[in-house]
Order: sequence, then C-alpha cells, then structure tokens
Amino acid sequence: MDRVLVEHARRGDRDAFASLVHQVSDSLFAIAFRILRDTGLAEDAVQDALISAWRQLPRLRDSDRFEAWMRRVLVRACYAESRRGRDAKTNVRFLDLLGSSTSDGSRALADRDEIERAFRHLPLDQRSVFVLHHYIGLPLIEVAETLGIPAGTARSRLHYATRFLRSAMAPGAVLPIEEGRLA
Amino acid sequence: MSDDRSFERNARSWLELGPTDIPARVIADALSAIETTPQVRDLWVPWKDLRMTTSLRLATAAAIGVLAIGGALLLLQGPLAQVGHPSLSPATVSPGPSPVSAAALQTRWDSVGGRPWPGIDLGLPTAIRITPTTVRIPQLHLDVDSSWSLVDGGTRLELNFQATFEGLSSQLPGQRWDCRVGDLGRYAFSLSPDGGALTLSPASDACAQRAAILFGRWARWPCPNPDSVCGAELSPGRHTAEFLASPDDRPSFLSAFSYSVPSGWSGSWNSLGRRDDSGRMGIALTLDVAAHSQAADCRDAVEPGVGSTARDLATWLANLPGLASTAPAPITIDGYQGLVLDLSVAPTWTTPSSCQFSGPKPMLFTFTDPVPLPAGQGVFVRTLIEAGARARYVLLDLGAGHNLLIEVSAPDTTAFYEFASAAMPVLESFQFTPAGP
Repeated sequence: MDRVLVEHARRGDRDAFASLVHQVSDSLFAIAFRILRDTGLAEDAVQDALISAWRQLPRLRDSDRFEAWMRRVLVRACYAESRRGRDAKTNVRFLDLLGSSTSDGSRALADRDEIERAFRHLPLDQRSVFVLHHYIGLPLIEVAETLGIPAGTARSRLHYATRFLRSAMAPGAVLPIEEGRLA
Repeated sequence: MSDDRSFERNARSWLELGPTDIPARVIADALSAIETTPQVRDLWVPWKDLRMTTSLRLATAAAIGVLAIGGALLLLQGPLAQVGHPSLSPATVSPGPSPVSAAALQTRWDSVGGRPWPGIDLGLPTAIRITPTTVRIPQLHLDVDSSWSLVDGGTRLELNFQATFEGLSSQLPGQRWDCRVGDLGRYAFSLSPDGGALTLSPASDACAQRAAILFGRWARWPCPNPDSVCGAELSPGRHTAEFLASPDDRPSFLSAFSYSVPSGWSGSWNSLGRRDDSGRMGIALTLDVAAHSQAADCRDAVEPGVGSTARDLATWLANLPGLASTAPAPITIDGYQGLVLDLSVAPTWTTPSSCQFSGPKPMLFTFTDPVPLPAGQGVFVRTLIEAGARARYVLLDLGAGHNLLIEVSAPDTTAFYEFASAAMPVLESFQFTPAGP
C-alpha cells in the first residue's frame, strides 16, 4: 500500500483516498462476501466501511497499517450488516448437490456445498477469523491484530470454526436447510 | 474429507469461489458520499497539501456553508473552551454533597471503547465536545448538537436535542438520526477524582440514538486546549523529517529537513506545530510552488508571467490587490537565500462570486503546482489565505530552478504574532538535505 497516498488521505485528500479505495475495494468486497455469503450485504458492508474509514482515517497513526486497519473496519461493518440483514429475507435456497455420484469432481462439489451450508451456521466472529486465515492467508497473530482480539481468542475461534465445519460435514451430520439471508 | 489437509484444501478452494470484483456503482456511491463527509480530525491539517478536485471544492464550500449556520467540523474549528475558568454557561450548579462544576465538563472527551453510530454499529471510538452551551456529537455525515444544563442539584445532565445538519448527510440507509428538536434526555454522570474520566448513564432520553452513543465512559482530551493539535509530542532538541513527495512521484529536490524545537512541539511530515495550539496554527514546508491563477473562477492553474524565484514570487504576492503585505525582506536559512513577507487578505477584498470555492469568509489562493499533476489527480499544492488569518511566507531559492515555501500561519493577528515569535527560531534551525542523484 502506498504510504504517501495513505498519508495524503489521512490529511483530508479525497482524491488520494479514492485511489486507495480503488486499490483495496475488490479485496474488501471479496472478504465481505466470504464472511456474509451475500452479495448485497457485502456491497453494503464495503460501502459503510469505506465511509467510516474516510471519517476515521485521521486517527490512523501508522500509515503502514492502513490495510490491516481497513480490514478491521470492514469486519465491523460486516457485523453491522449481518444484524441489519437478518430481517431481509430473500428466499434463497441452495441446490443440494449431495448425490450418489462418487466421482472426484462431484465429491469436491458436494464438499463445497457442505461447507457452504455449514459455514452459514457459524457465528460471524468465527467466520471472520476463518476467512482472514484461510482466504487472505494471514497468520493467526495477524488475524488477531487485524480484528483487535487476543491471539488466543483468534486461535480458539478458528478451532471452533474448523471443528464445527468438520463435524457438520461428517457422514450423517444434519444441518437445517437455510431459507433466506443467514448471517 | 478424510483429514485436516484435505479439509483445508477443500475449504480454501471453496473460499476461492465467489465474486472478487466489486461493482463499480458501489465504489461510486461510497465516493459520492465521502465527498460530503467530513473527517474526524485530531491533528492540524495544513490547507496547502490538500489536493482538491472541482467537486471537492464544491463539497468543501458546502461544508463551510454549514459552519456558517451553526458549525459542523467542530473538533478543529470550534471556539476555544475556557477550561478551568469560570463558565459563561447558563448551566448552574446547585449546592449538593458532591457539586460538580459545569466548567469541569467542558472539553473534548474521547470515548473509552467504541460507540455505535445511528444505524451502523461499527463500534469505533468517537469524541464528544462539551462547550459552555452544547454537547456536540460528531457523526458519520453530520454533527449533532444538544444544549445542556445541570439539573437535580447538579447531579444530572439534561440535554435538549438541537439540530442535525441534513445537508451533509447522504441517502445511505440507516445512517440518519430520527431524533427531533427538543427531545430531552437526562443523564446521571460522574467525574473521576482527577477529572480525567466522565461516566454518563442515561436515566431517560427521548433520543435513543443519542443515549446509545453517550452511555459509558469517556476520557478527557489530554491537552488543555480541546481544539488543539495535541499531536505526538517531539522531545526538545533536534529532529529530522522527510519531505512529503508529490503523488505523481515527481523527483524531489530535497529529501529531508532537520530542525530543533523546544518542548511542546509536535510534527507530522513537513508540518510542525505546537501541541496545544488550535488546528490552524503551524509551520508548513512546500517544495516547488508556483503562483496560483487569479482567474475569477479560482481554477487551479499557474498564473501566467510569474517566474519561480523567491523574488519573482514575493514581488507578485506583494502586488496582488487581494492581499495586504509587508515589503519583502531578505532572509537566509541554512545558506539558502530568499525573501520573507507577512500576508493577510486585504480588508476590501471579496472572493469573486464566480469562484468555485466560496465560503463565508473572503479568501485568496496564493500558490499551486508548477507542473500539473496527471489528469484526475487534482492538485498537490494549493495554499490560500482566509480573511482574518495571517501568514508569514518565507520563500527560498534552492538553485536549479527550485524554490521552497515555508509558511507560518495563524487564524488571527494576535495568535500570529505570538506564534511567529516562537516559530522563527525553529525556522532558523532548519537544515535541508538535498535528494541524491
């Protein structure tokens, strides 16, 4: 991330901030979607995160930490969006890809569908750790720093998320079928 | 999914699925909202480094308009509080077992922990500013005032919702206040023995959003002046700072500068100030400035026919009809020769009505970039002087066609002379480091 650009934006330069937005927004959107599992909520979360980041940017003391700080703002925006999204039912129903096929391709698809369903049952704080660790590839210590939580908390959230997903995907596991926006 | 490795592999490949490109309209909407969204600003921001597009100028003008009707952007530009002095507030304190002075509450308070914003619980820290008459809450798109008084024998705070500035709010859902003018709230409060912590507990409030924000602990602004820079303090002695490069990576003639400060100063990049001064006082250094166009529309362009030496620029400034100026006087800093002159907006000056940047006060642009930035990048340098404010411009010739502007500015004449007398020894200590080949 361009430190000078961050410094300019921190000092009120909207053009500089717009440049930063163009640099980070795809990544933020990808993270938000993977946490919220809903395009509309993810778009709203990114929008709120960008506005609040602009608002709070002068308080960012270390310009080198912009990206991590931005992710933290985004995750908080995701929390807010998920609360807002609970009431917005969209009647999305996911195809059941679990079938009798045992080919590798079908098995992989089935596994992914199982993860999708199970993931939607995770609390948002566990989803955030899971996405930042497995999708962004952040070490747990950086996940903790990004989210502003102790490293042990990040570790335990990842542990519980992984354990739940694995157990939910075990043969015979039953998950309720989701109808609507789950977050 | 037989083992951890295959689980992780599947989880990662599943996470790779899904959209990764944000729709352009989402960014456009956010940037549009940002155009009218003020920042929560704790530090002094020199006007000169703000790159402004036309639309931003209009947005800024709108924000200034709001200031004129009652004051947004409070944290930098509100009136100085009389902390520790007898209050002029209508709030009175009745005798009681633990009387709290109304004046003891009047400062800026930073939230301990996050606070919700209406409709979007981001839980980020925020600040409130208690003046003799109002409790002001800066919000995402607007600042919100409540008048206040002490009631119930000085044991409770009564707030009366005054106004929001809808002109600055966007149409994004869930970010508006739905409180009404006159909504009353009563808060139990306590101050820590040292006065450094304030705890507010709503007993009742017709404005639920206000209660959600105010509830809890607040920490007193650590500097005596609640409108101060209050930046990280520089230890007395010598320091080095690098020059802020222009956004188009134009080669910089100087890479750094060093300076000596006494206690109480703070610095950020090529700006210096005193920690407890208001946000409009400071020293700012700008490399390579050119005369700003005096066209009636205030466009960002170089004024034709003005050279780039210190003498060229000082002579041009001294003869601008919109400026009152002292005669340029010679000065030498770190072996570089130049001229110094004091400037203010002439009493008779009015900003042309066709100027795209028009606020409640007359103002005049002085310098801009000598070379335009690539299209769409606005301007890197724009200096201006606003009516009432006063500035000392030191213009140095660096050689090879480069110049340096050192700007000492203050919001009024009294503050200027006091600040300038403190700032000049700092300027005289400057040493500049040329950039390498």
